[in-house]
Amino acid sequence: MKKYLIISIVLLIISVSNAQNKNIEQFRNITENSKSGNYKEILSSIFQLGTTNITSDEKSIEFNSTLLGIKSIFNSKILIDTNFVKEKFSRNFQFNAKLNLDEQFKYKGFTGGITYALINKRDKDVADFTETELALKFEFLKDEMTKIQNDLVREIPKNDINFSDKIDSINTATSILINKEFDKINKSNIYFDKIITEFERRNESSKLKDHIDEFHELRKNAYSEIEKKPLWTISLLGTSNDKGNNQKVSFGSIFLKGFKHLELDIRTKLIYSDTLIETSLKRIESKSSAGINYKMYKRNEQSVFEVKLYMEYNSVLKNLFIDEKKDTFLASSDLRLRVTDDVWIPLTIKYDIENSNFLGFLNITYNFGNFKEKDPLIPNELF
Amino acid sequence: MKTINVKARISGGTAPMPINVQITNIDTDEIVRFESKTSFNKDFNLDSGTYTIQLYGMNPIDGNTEILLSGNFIEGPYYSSKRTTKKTFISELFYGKI
Repeated sequence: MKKYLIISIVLLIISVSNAQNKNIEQFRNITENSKSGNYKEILSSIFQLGTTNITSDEKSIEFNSTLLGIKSIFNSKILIDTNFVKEKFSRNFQFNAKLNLDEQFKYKGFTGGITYALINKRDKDVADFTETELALKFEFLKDEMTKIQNDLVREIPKNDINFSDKIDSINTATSILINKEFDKINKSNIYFDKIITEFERRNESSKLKDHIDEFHELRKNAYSEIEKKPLWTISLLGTSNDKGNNQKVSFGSIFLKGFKHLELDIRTKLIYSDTLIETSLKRIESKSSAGINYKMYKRNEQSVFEVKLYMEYNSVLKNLFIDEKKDTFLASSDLRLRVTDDVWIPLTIKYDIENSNFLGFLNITYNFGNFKEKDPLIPNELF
Repeated sequence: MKTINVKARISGGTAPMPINVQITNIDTDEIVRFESKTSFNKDFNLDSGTYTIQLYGMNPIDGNTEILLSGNFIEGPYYSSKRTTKKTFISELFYGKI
C-alpha cells in the first residue's frame, strides 16, 4: 500500500514538473512575487513542494496544489480570464499531501487533506483597479500616447520602404516608456526622444517620466493594499502511519489580516489522535496561537525577510500522558528568509515560558517558479 | 464597408483595468472606440482608408494578453498581425490599409 502511495505522489510531482503546456508554465509564475511567506505557507497559488523539519528526527516532504492547478494540467483554457473568474472554488480549494519520514528518510506515514479559503480577499489575479486613481492616470496617458503615436505615424512617408519597421519602433518606444523600462531606452530608436519631447510640449507642467513614475507607484500601492486584506482558511487533515492505520485527524482554522507591513495571524487547531504506547490511547488536543508577522525587508517588491512573533496556548483536552502538563504557554518566533524567488527557509524558535527552555526548528519550502534577477534590498517601515 | 476583427485573449487572471481599442482613420481623424474588461472578439465595420489600431490596458499580475488582428486589409497590418504581451501595461500599435 505504502509503495503505491509513494509511487503515486512521485508520479504526480514529476508530471506537474514536466508539464510543457505554455500556459501552465506561465501560470506557475503568477503572483508569487509579493506574497508573504506567511501567506504561501497557508495557501499555495498553484503548486508547492517542500521539505520540512530537516533538522529534527521526523522529516517530511510536502506537496500542495489548488484544484485549479490540477485542472489546468488537463485544460489550459481554464486560465483564460472568462473561465478563470468562474473558478473561484477551484482557486480557493487546496489539496495537501505529505510523506512523513524518519531520520534515515524512511517512510513513516502519510498525511493528506484539504484546505479551503472561506474568505480570500488577497487574490491578486482578479484585482480590479477600474475605479481608482491609477485608472484615471492611465486614461490620461493613453489619450496622450494615442494622439502622439498617430502624429508620428502621419510623419512617415506612405511610400517609405521601412514603414513596418518604423511602426515597430514607435510601438517599442511607447511600450518601454509606459512600462517604466527606462534602462532599455535605446538612442538608435529616434521615437523615444520624439515621444518624450512631444508629451512635454503638450503638457508643459509635467515630465513624461515623472508621470510614469507616479502611476507605477499607484499600481504598486494598489497591489500592496490587496496583500493586507483578510484571508480565512479552514483545513481538515488526516495522518496514518506506515502500517496504514489512522493515527491523527485535525481540523484547523487560520485568519490573516494586514496592517501596513504588519500582519495579524490567528490560528487554532483541534487534534484527535490515536496513540499506541502500551494500549491504544485516544487523545484530543487543542493548539492556538495569535501573533504578528512583520515583513521586514523586500527586494524588487518581494518580501524576502519576515519575522513572526506570537504566543501559543496548547491544551490536552482528553487523556493526558503521565507527567504531561494539561496546558502549555509558549512565546515563539518564526524567522523566514527567502533565498531565491522560490525557496524560503523558515527558522522557528520557541520559548517555554514556564520551563525556560528554547526549542528550534529549521524548514525549507520550495515553490515552483522561475528565478529572477536580484534587486537591492529595501527595509520596510514598521508603521 | 470593410470589416476588421480584433481578438484579445487575457490569460492568468482578469484584467485589472479594461482594454481600450482605438481605431483612427489617419486621413480623416475619424475615431472608433471600444473597451472591454474581458477577452473579446470584435468586428468593426469601417470605410476604406488607412488606419491605426491602438490597444491600451493592463495585464493580470504576471499574466499575458494575446492580440490578433484580421480582416479586409490591402496593406498591413504592420508590423505584425499577432502579438502576445506579458508587460504590465499593454500598449500595441497596428497600422493597415483597408
